[in-house]
Amino acid sequence: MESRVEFSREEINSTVWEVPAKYVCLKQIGTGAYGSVCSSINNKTKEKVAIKKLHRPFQSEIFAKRAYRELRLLKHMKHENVIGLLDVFTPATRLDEFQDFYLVMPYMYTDLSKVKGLLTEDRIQFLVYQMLCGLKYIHGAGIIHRDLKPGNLAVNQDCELKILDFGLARHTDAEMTGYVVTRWYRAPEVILNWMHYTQTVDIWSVGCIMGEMFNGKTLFKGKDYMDQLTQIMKVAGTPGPEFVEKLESPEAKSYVRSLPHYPHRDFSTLFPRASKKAVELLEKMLVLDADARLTASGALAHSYFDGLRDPDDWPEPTAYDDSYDNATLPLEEWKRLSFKEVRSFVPFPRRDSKRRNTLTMS
Amino acid sequence: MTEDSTVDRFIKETSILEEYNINWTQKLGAGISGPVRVCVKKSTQERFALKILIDRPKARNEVRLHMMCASHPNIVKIMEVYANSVQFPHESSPRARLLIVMEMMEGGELFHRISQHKHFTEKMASQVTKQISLALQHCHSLNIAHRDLKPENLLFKDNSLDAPVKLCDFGFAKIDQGDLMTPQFTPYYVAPQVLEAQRRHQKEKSGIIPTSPTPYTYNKSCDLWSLGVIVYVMLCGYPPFYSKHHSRTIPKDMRKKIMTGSFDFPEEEWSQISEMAKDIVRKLLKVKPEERLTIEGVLAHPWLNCTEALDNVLPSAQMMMDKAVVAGIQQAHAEQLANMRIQDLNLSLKPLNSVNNPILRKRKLLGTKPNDELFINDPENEVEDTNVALEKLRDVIAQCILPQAGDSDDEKLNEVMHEAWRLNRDCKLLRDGLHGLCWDGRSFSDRVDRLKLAEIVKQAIEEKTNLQDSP
Repeated sequence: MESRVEFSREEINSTVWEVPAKYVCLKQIGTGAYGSVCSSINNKTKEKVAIKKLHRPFQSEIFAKRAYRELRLLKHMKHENVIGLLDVFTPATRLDEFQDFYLVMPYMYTDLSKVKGLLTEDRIQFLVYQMLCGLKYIHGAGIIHRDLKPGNLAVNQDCELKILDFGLARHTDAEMTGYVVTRWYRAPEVILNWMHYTQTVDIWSVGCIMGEMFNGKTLFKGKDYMDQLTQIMKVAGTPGPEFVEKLESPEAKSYVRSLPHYPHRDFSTLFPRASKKAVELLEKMLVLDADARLTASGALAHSYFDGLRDPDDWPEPTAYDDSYDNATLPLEEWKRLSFKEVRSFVPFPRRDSKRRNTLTMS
Repeated sequence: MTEDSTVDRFIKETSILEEYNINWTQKLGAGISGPVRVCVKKSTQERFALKILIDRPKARNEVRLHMMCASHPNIVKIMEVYANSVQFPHESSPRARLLIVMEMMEGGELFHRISQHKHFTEKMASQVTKQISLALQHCHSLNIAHRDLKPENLLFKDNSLDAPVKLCDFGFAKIDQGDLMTPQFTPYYVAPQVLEAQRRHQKEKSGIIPTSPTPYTYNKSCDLWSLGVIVYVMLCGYPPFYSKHHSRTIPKDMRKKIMTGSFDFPEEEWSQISEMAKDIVRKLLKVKPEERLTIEGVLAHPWLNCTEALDNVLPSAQMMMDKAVVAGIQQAHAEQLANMRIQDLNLSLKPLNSVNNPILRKRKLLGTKPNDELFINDPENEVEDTNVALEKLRDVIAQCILPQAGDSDDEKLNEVMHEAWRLNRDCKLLRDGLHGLCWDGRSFSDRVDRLKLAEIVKQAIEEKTNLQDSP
């Protein structure tokens, strides 16, 4: 029996936080339907962290399953460009006391959507490199993000980037209607449900984000489904007959055939701030045909990253076992599984571990 | 005399136990943030509420702002404040704490009160709203935004039918400096009449037209949004922004509905509620703070000044009998308030040669030189100047293609172009192209075709890049 860590208890904005005593200076930085997040200092490592407390994770089977999946996915991620767990804890020492658990992650000051000003090319290049390193790792684990957008890319002043919120978002159809941010970074095959999509849906999103960083504005700002596709076609061009033949659904076939003809835009005109190699990479990422689109590995092999590439940035991932992800289990079983996952957490050694927080307010 | 020293002088250093007996085991009112207990004044045997906070700047700020507001009849009174060391049973040593003695509120929270009242009418809702609004008006006139206006912070004095409702808990209150036209802060003992006279005098002095609306800053407007939600719930028993057939869980789309201000008045409950009530709700639940009613607008609204009989019994009392329903409403409201209080964290990324980044640091440690210096700034390498030169050219293109915002854009373009020109004078292609656009070495003497300029600069970049790539 391990000795019990000393916990301290604090009420913050009507929520009770019961955390190990080494986490001090808790301050709320976010809240949502499923949980609240506080920033904190780990008094032992002097590192600033973000602690997430889920709201009543075991109030229903649906909530318990979601909490379990989030815990499993975060535990699985051990890459510097993907958000992962530094710690996970619960004040309970026995399963029958188990009501809450807390997820501790690196504190990333903010996300890419809030980065000010136009970025220089070297910073764009470095950020895209990190996105692709993180994606290569995620895809190698057999996971597709599906919802990459600037708001899901955490950054700090030192140009460190981490991918957030992957594998969990399952937006409803209703959330895809109207003028909404999420749809602007969606691959065309996802928008029209053309086919079973592959990992390259995430590469399309990276292309949109990269283009946005060069131009300083959203690339495909569709006001609805059809407008989104039209804007994509005006850049990528209407697809040829070989592509149409690959479409599975007759509705998609007839829709694409009905489109007016749009030529493929000259990307060097579309992205005047981008270097020749950057334009070349963008052209290979923003390809309509998902089969012809670059993979994360393919993108990293592109000569655009010759000055940055280092295979040590791509540790081999372990395949993610998703056997429980679609299971139907009783609430108590989800609870037991989650408790087991919390207790079995082992932190992985990070290359930047114990690095002191050097952030300064700009 | 500053407000800070005033508050500190008001705070007693003597032990609270000299004047009060504290009932450590009896906690008051669920929902009040921070533990609140009963204490009894020894000399009079009067019961008060005791709130205990850890003594730190945020707590002192809470005390200060609450005291500044507490003279209003619809705001909970502060009787005394003590700074004492207190050790709770689960603690290993005493901690410095602030102990705030407040008037005892025995009538319960707003929603609980409604659920007890079988015949809660629209008129009663209007009267409660007026009292809340008067409390808010008092705070806002002192340039204080409460920022945590929620049902748990609205308490009734006692259980009598005409008991006043009072606002409490200033833990998130904030001085709102944005409104520059209201008087400077005055000592907390000043009477409201004096403040009002001072405000009127200030307005006359600066020549403000009395009917022109004072610009209302975001933090105060946050309180008006909260008021709108509270009024909506008081009238029908469930919150705006999701359907009445809610469960305990908060639907995923609630946040989206809040962000778009998407709500309606379902027929089943709202058909018997007056149009005036709906009107005030609509005007409060505006997404854009500048479109929202001000507190003066609320107090002037017909619904609060109506002599017409509004005796229709509201469905809210029945709905609020379900404690789980009320808890869900309170949680949703508190979460939205927390979101509204959190500032956007804007960020500037450092240049790569000054970042503390593990990936780049590893490159340096291994002595690995990047093969393509075009993209990684190396201060020891002469290519840095070329990179800067190219960067300046790209900035010109950025300036050309960004949407033109105002008259200073031409000036900005000249500035950016001049920077690029200084570092790229050796480029013949650029020199010739600029000559054709009436560039005199410092500015464009005629209105420039931005698309043409962007094209010329792009060609210059390509030429320079090709020159570097070839050797």
